[in-house]
Amino acid sequence: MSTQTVSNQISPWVYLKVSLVSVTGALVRAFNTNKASWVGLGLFLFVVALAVLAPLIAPHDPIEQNILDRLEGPSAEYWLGTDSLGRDIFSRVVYGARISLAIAIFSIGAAMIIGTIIGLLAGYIGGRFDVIIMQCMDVLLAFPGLILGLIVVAMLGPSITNLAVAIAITAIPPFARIARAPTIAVKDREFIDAGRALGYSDSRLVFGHILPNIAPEVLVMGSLWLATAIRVEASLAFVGLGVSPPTPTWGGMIKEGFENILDSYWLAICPSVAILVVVLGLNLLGDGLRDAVDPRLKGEE
Amino acid sequence: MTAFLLKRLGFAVITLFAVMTIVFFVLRILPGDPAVAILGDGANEQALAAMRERLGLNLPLYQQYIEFIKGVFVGDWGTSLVSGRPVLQDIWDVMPATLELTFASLLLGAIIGIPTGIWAALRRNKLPDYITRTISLIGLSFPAFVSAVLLLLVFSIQLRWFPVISSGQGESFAERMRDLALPAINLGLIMAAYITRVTRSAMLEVLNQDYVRTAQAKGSSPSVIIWKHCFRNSMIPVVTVVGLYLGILIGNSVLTEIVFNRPGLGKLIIGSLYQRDYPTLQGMIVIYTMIVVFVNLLTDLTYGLIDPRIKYS
Repeated sequence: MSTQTVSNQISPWVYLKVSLVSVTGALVRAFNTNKASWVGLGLFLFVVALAVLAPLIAPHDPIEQNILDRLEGPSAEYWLGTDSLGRDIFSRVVYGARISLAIAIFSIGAAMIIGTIIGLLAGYIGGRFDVIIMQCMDVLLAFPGLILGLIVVAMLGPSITNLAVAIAITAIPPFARIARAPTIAVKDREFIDAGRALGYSDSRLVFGHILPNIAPEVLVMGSLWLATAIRVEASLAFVGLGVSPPTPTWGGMIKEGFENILDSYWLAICPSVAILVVVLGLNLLGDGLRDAVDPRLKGEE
Repeated sequence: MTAFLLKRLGFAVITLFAVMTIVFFVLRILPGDPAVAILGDGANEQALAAMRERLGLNLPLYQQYIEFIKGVFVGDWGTSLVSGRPVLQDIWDVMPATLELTFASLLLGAIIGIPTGIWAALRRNKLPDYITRTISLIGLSFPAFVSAVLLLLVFSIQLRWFPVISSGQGESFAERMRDLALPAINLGLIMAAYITRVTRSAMLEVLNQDYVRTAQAKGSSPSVIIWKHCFRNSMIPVVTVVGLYLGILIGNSVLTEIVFNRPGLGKLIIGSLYQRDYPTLQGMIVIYTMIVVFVNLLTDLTYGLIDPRIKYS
């Protein structure tokens, strides 16, 4: 009896702290299992640093036009040349990182939280609730993500928030799925039975005990989906549904470069390399971590 | 088998219904009057009223819904606001080009991806495995339009091996194939990256099974073990994943069609979005849903062909 009163007095913050420590520990171990994840993290952080420090790094204003210097090749003044309006490409690539990362992080952050809660609840409650919810998720998952994104953005209008919402909608189902399966596996383990016997509430069991167990998998999935979000955002911008010009976005820059591809191909190349670096970095990161989190899935998409 | 088929078909129809219903209401709940969107802010009230009449927007919502569902089933999908032709006709015209591209890239993806995946699995944690994993990871990091632009730059503009614009409607077979080549290579290579990775992990899973050890112990040759015991068993996840990746393939084909200026569903939907051609947009969403539902059904049925142990019930 006394044990119960003692454990019930532990504040939620202690649980949060213990959970964080265990998740962090698992992540560090995961990083060391596959060294490629460190490389991926390095590439990603490099781009994050570029984005954060953009005003310090960029030699020019990304939207300042210098019509006399239009379509110039790389030089000391313009490191990666200029575009058809005489804007500095290097500065635009650096500032473009801000848009890409902001949209990706907002959208995947939201999708991760909403999807995980849906998956946790579906797995924990089970029964008909589970069937209906997951059926909805499957339908959403089956629909081509880019098409869904296109439609949502075309309807709502291309702002940073709307782009993030569109991408988040397409990314919720995979998180629900990845959270549901381990929840079902974990909820019948002894420690959950023990918790139930001690009279813990359902929400305490789900968020205090099941969530920390599935968090590593969700986080790994998150890094892979960050890569997808960056690809989708760039694709939307490429078809003309990105953040409106003159704001620099990588996809938009490639679109402009593509229109001038016959005489100045570097316009399209520079932002392409930027996309590849960050997407490859995130894929290396997520792929390597997944090996550690779930060895059975090694190398699977 | 029949019972299973009926059940799956029933589920497919329900999914289709659900998506059509959602699409119908979402297109109408969203802010903005389609008539204003089509005619512009400056249109006079008379013209707007006529356009609403033409779109059927003045009918009560439930009646619009019934008309829409009925139309889908009897083949009356409305008239495109841009081309003035029946929506179904517009879709039908570009369908062959899209199907051609999709099949060609799936085939290419399988031809490259499956053997490479098996090869990597058999040499796990050796050099071929690392090379395959790295290249395939790079492959799936490419947004389809980036790779398409690069291919176009190298093979059409620099080397001039292929036309810059592939109409996809060449007269002779040779012309068609030449138009198809670069777009199909673009999508096929990305597909190959996905298939390689799934094949590799599926193969690794099977190679760890007890019956493989038994086969090795009784002295079966490696090729018998791989092809007779492992290959078919590893194909189930591959088929599942290919079915799931159809969504990615469809999205990528939109981008590819734009870069290579090739007619197809992708160019049609982008056009209808830009020109606010609501009837076409609605029809496109229905057709995409139909394709997805049909492929899911096909995926389920393929399992039985690959693995006779799977009983449909």
